[in-house]
Amino acid sequence: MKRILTRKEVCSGCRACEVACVARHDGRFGTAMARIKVTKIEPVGLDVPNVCRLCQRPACVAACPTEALYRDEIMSVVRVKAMDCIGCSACVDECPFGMVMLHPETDLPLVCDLCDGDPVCVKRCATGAIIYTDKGVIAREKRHYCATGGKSDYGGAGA
Amino acid sequence: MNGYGGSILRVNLSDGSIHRHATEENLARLFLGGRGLNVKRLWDEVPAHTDGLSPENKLIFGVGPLVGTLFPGGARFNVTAMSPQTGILGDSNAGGFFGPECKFAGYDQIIIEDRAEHPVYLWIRGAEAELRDARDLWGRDVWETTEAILEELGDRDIQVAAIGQGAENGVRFAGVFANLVRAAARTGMGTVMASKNLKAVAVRGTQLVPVADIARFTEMIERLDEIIYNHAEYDIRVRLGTTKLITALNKIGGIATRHFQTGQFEYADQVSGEAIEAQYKIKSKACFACTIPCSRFLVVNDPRFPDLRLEGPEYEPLAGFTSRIGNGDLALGLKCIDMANRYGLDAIALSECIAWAMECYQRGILSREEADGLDLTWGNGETILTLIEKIAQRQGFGDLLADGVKKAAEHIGRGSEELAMHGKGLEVFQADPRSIKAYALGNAVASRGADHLRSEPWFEFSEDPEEGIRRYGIPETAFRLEYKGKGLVVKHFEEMAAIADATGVCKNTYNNMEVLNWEETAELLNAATGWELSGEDVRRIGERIVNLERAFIAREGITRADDILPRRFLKESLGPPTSPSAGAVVELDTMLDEYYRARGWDVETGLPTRAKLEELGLSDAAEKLAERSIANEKENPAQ
Repeated sequence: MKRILTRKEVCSGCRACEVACVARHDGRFGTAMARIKVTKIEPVGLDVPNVCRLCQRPACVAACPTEALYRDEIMSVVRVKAMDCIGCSACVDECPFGMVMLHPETDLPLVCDLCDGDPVCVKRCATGAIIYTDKGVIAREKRHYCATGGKSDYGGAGA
Repeated sequence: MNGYGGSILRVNLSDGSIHRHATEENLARLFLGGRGLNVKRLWDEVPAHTDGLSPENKLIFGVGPLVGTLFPGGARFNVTAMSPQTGILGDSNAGGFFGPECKFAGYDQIIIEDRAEHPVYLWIRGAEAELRDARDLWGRDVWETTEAILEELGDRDIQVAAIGQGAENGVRFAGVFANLVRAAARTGMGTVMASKNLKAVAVRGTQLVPVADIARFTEMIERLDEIIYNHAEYDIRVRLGTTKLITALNKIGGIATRHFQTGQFEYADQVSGEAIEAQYKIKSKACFACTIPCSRFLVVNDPRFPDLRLEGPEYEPLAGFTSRIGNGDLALGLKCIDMANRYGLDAIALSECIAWAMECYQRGILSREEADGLDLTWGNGETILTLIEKIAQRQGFGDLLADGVKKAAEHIGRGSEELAMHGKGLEVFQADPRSIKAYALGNAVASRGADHLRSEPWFEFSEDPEEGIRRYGIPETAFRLEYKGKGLVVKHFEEMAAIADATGVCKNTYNNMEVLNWEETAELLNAATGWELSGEDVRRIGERIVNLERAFIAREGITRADDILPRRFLKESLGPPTSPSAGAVVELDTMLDEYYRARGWDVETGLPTRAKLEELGLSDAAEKLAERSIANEKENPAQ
């Protein structure tokens, strides 16, 4: 199963992923309604792309009191039934990664739909900080790094 | 209004009133935004000869239609006001994330009027804006101020543009700094901000910017990304950013060394972009949505400078605090840059002031006693660090330098005026104009004083005579030491630079890498706005901006006589004798003639003609100049 994985060590913090996500989903420009979010701590040069983890047992779905959120088992993404959503933000509160937000105009939850298998955030990333690949690739690379003490394209041990 | 935030915010600091109105589409069509719409506003609202530090001056932040879009590096905001440093047009811009956030808050322009009673900062949260007490922030540097505001407002997604102590203390070349290190540094816009008691602008925006044709825009950006990734300069720009120029300019003998006494620096390898990459670079950094991450985060492990971490630098501050002042110590140079950033000072002006003082000392014009006992020997680290402090605090000898090199030299006299490297009161950049003639001309005619970013005519490095013929009908245009055709080159690149600054994109991509031509620029703007601009329409907007700026400085009394370079570049031949630029001087007059002719301005006076202004829809400017007996009634010589 493929996932969006991130490598903060090479993220330039440019947020092209955010604006690409919004352009695709809203047809306009902005960042507040992005389904991907770069956390930036400028004084220490930290840039971390945060993505929806596409959980197997999603806390956002479990939290939804109206069953407006459900997991699409074929595509392995969470989807929103807009008609059933009451905008209570229980999903926002329960996501352990803080990666469910409400759309500032519609109050509907913003969840990653993987752009139907071709995520625009990944395409737009210039540095390889956001990749769409098999689950476990980064963990494998890190194991390799730890075992060999060598260099990994995917950043250092404990990264 | 497609492609725009849609609103103008007007803040009066004296009575605290805050108003907003719709962005005027008719003006946007004529001047786009950013630098273009800013100079239009300043021309309309700030009378001639307004003192830069008076409450009557206005400080204008502006962004353009490509800011906050998918455009790689559509990140830039312009700050415009009457300059307290030069007394003419003040205008500077910077990248990072502040510009896009203004747009997402719904604003194309933020106009700051009058002066607050005590220090305040402006907090803009979408449609809501308020002035908040900044008395506790006064006296703090750019980094401390930014962090304190983020903490107070409790949201790290807020973007802050702030000033440091340099501006507060009245250093005339203090800038406005966003994202800690993104400096709108030139012409003293931070000094204006401090004179208004405005410590910072904090902004957060959650709006969507409407786009006329998102499919077309996206498709064009995909194509643009390919052009960028396949560009010959892509790899080196990602590795080194503009610091690649230390090695490149040293090789051609054009790096400002010991205050332009020579064009090659013996320690260039030690202070180069490559040296930074090898020793201190942690990772690449980028402005908003940029696919060329040319900035770098550095951790400088040097026991003399504990906890020295910074983003950048660009070539300009790096050469300024190394070759220009004769310093071969890279870590020291980076420390100086960090100090300039935190105090909020223009690194070009600051390094020129120090370099000028050092040359005056070398030549016996300035004594050690006059310089507070400092040993002004080239590269003396202790002196350099002390001088930066003194300038930022306006203490002792630093107080003299804090007015900029022109005024400092006027004060000292004794022939030091000839050594002051400025044009129209603005300090010259870090490349030797003698080695690059189009840049020399560009510096001489630039509307904000000597500066390369008003034109950035890279083409003279191309050594492609056939392309020179295709573009300008003149093969010599492709060679940096040739003169012929440089007036045409500078005119062309000035218009490109104006479009870059008015749309809000980066000149590294737009001017230096030339990733879009006029037609493609028009197509992209049309996709954003729904307008039907042709390539020629876009070029004419650039020409209109350049002409209005010329009218603006003409109103302040600028003529051809002011379009000059320091004597050294005109009379002294460039060394060392073994370099590829050896013996070069700048023969400015023929280039100026050619440039004014190409511009349709009067060749004798350098003033914009009524015919040219009217042709560009600037009749109002022609009238205003005529009222002051400045307008030139002669026929447009180009017609």
